[in-house]
Amino acid sequence: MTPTRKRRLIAIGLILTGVGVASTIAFYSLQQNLLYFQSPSEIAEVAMPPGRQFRLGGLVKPGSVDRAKDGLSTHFIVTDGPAEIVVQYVGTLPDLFREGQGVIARGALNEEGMFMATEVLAKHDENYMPPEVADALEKTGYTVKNE
Amino acid sequence: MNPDTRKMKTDRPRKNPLVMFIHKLGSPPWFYGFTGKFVPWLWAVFTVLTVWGLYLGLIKAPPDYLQGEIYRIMYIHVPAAWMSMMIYVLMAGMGFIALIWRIRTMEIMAMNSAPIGAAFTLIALATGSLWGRPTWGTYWVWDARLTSELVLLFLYLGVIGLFKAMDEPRKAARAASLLALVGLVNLPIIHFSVKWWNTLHQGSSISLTGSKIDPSMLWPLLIMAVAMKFYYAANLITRSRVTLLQQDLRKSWTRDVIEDATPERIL
Amino acid sequence: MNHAPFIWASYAISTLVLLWSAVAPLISKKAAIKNIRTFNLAKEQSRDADS
Repeated sequence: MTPTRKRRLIAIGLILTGVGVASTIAFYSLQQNLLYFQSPSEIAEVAMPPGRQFRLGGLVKPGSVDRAKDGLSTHFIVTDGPAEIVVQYVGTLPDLFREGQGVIARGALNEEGMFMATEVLAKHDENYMPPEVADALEKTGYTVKNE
Repeated sequence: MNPDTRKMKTDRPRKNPLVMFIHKLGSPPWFYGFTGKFVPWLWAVFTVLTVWGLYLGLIKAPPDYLQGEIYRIMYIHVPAAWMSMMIYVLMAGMGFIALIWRIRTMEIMAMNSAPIGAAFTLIALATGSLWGRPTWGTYWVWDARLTSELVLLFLYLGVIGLFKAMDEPRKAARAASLLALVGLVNLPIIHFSVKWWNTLHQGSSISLTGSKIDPSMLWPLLIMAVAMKFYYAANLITRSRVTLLQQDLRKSWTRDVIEDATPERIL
Repeated sequence: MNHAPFIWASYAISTLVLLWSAVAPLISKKAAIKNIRTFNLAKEQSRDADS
């Protein structure tokens, strides 16, 4: 390699190292802000005060969905295994909202510790399969949910 | 002159074939003639694979157990998202070579990758949004995956803008290549965002260790992914040849190429 | 919710973007060839005028 090329290589190397270091620092300092949602366990850990807005993420506990008679408000439990939070939501739920599936709800806890959601999004998982395959898996007792 | 370089010059005829090939690619008339021969074949392979992949994906593949038919958007969304990242890496790589060795055809190919990469990024964002509305319940969220992919679009636009803003095309290409290299930090962020942070976007279905997509639904996806690589190759070469014609307007080889060629060969 | 419009819209947008990206260089190629012809014609004419 000629000296000119070596000099260019070193210059570019220095620039890239600088950018790399700067972004790693930024990455570590911003880490917390980049979390799009928090799990029920994380909420329990930080003792989230009532009224503070945040996003709650987890699985809809099977058998916990309770649609009110007026057809608008829904109650369900969001769980991540060790902890769970009761959610109340008024409005239409997304198509993929199912028991056992992932959801992300935005809102705040009320005084009783119930999560009052203003928006509910369904979180999809990375599995894709035909209905017959899903049925067959269900029969063998294998669960396709993996969160 | 440095004794090393003098030695290299006298050794040139004995260089290995790969180095000779790279040297030849660096010569605009040779590049123009060589690439012109196989560009139609690249387009042909792209067309065949796309028709085949879409037939399998949109007609033959079964619906998803949970999503139903809407998952079929994946057959364009996933290949486009992969391409948006692959093209960026290639653009930065070619830009790196251009910066150090100042090979003009490399500068041209790096710069012509940007609009193609931007097109794929736009497709990934638009189709993802159209998938998100019925499945998630929203067109857009500011989670780490979606935001970093949007940043990728702005990086592409930045490279295109910087290249166009400067008058001297060779200097402009090198400045924009440096920007492309700096922007590489965004790539691991896009790829690992779904692992590092809680995001609304699901994790990767396909990794080196396996796939979480049923084989009947996976094949069309892989075919589409290969088809898009042919699209990129064909489009990049087509664009680069046009750039050579534009830049070498006053050189004699461009006149020879146009006057010798039959009308079909030109287009 | 009816999903068909979302699927069709996705493929329509993708087709348009890819088509435009493929056709745009062909349009500039036509212009480039025209420019080369004009340049060489002008050069020949000035050479003729000199002799």
